[in-house]
Amino acid sequence: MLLKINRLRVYFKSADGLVVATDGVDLQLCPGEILGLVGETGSGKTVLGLAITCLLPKTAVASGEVLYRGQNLLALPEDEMRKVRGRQVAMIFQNPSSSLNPALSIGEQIAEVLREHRGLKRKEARQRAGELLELTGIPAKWIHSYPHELSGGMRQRAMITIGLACAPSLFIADEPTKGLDVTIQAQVVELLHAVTKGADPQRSMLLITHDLGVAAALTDRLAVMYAGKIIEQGPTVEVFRNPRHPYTRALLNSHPSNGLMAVQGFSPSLINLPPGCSFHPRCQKARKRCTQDPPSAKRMGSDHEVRCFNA
Amino acid sequence: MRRLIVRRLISAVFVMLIASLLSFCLLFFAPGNPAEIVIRQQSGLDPTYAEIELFMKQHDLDRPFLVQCLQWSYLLTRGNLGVSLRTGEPVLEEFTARFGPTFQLAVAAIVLSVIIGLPIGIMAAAKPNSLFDHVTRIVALGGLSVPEFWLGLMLMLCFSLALGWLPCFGYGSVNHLVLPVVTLSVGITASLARFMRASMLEVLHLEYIKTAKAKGLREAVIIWKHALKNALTPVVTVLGTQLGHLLAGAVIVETVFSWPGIGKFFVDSIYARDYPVIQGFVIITAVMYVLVNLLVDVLYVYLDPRVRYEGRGQ
Repeated sequence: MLLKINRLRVYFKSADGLVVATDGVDLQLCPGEILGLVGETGSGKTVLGLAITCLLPKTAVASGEVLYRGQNLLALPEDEMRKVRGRQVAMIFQNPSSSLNPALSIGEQIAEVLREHRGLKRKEARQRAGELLELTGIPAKWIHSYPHELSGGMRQRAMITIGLACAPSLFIADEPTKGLDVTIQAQVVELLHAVTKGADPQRSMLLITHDLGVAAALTDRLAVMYAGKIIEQGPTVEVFRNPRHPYTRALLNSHPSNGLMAVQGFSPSLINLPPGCSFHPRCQKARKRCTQDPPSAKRMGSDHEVRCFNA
Repeated sequence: MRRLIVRRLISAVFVMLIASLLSFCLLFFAPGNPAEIVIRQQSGLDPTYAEIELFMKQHDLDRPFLVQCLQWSYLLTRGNLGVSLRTGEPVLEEFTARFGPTFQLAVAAIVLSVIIGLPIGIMAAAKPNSLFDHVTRIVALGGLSVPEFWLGLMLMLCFSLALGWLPCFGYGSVNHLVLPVVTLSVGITASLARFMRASMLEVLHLEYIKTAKAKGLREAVIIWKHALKNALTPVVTVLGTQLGHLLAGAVIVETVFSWPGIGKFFVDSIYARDYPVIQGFVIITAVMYVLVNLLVDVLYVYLDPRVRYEGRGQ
């Protein structure tokens, strides 16, 4: 097991009360596996990614365990954690336009990771940065160009190059296709496939997305998040073919290819979550029990879990 | 780059033209007659009507506005800034004789402020609301509030009269430079530190700082490389304005320390209605502002590659 998350709970203290961003999240990731984390905006997907890399804002409080190769990253001192980031666990963020430093050349932004973690000399790092750019489809001579000189798709390629510079075992991509043209999205999906399954079969990826199409194209397993909880997870094919949770079903129906049926109602405020199952106010099959007890994870088949009383 | 500089120099010509025209108008319509003031100063007696008439004729002050204006502009194009009514010396010479000390003072004060102010601001931003942040904030507030003339006098009292380490006033050795430079630097250092902190804090919240952290870079690299290069741009602007101010003469400090710079001479010329000196100094000051701003623009290009791009695109 490469990554095992146990009962991860992250909350923020705000003036209005506790904001529980993720609550009791259990997640596992095997070497070479691509896990998709899908859900609406505000469901806690990004917070989960940040918790794994220990990059949560200072106002956040995290409890539970994030075991990476058996080591609890949450308990790791910052200096040790720094050596894990970028080298073993790399994370890239949505919106490459603001995630790349405008004052530094692309080459420098790649080379500095190599100098930091691989101990390469300035010249070697530059050389390697050029080679890495070529691998992600950017001509090596663009090493001297700055982010503003690249197109959106090229910037995302550069971001991916930075993330993969030190060949991490776990690659976390937060909404890598957001804000890109559909054709560019397809290229990025292709690239993400090439740099994981294609380049290193042992490399795992956690793909955070709200785009079910992207998730279907790339992932082996799928975890659906709702209001800070993982309400269904299983093999991607299985979840798509046989969704057990009403929310998963609603989410799949909201996809244009399935008729663009919007999920009824609004996602709940994370400060005042409804009691019982968080989804019950929007659920058409809600019973009395759903309004009282939070459902625990129920096994459906070998590798398919659902948190629903009706499943 | 060269295009940028050429463009700025061309616009500088217009800036100077407008500056000189404005100063000429203001002076012309300002109350008070230079003839009266200058004669009284030179002879110590109230001038007679005939004396005033003669003085104005000698210095072409009786001509109409437009004629005077054109006359002055004509001389300006030949590099002639005229002759001081007060001292009878060419304005350019009066200026060059005093610019050296002012330049020394300005550059030394700016360098000192940058060396102390910027690191303080950066370190305060790196650990906001820490003890260091609070202490420097209070000290900076004090530094900004202290009036220069008072600070200058206190420093004199302490370091020259009581301790006898440094000369009280005057110009010459490096020792003479210390007290006036410190007096000037306190306020500039404080404002630079505050400005640097604010700019740095803003940048530290941006997305690419999160990326830098996710790359596993050291905190020092994130702050001194990733954040600083972006946060410096607005600070450089302020720095340019400060330097421009100082090069135009630090009147109070020059007066307190009897520093033979242009500031004090300029103010005295205003009292004496010494038109050629005032106009000449306004022009020269405008030139210096333009040059300092050009320097700032060049620094921008180094700090922010997007500026380079815009320059090329147009």
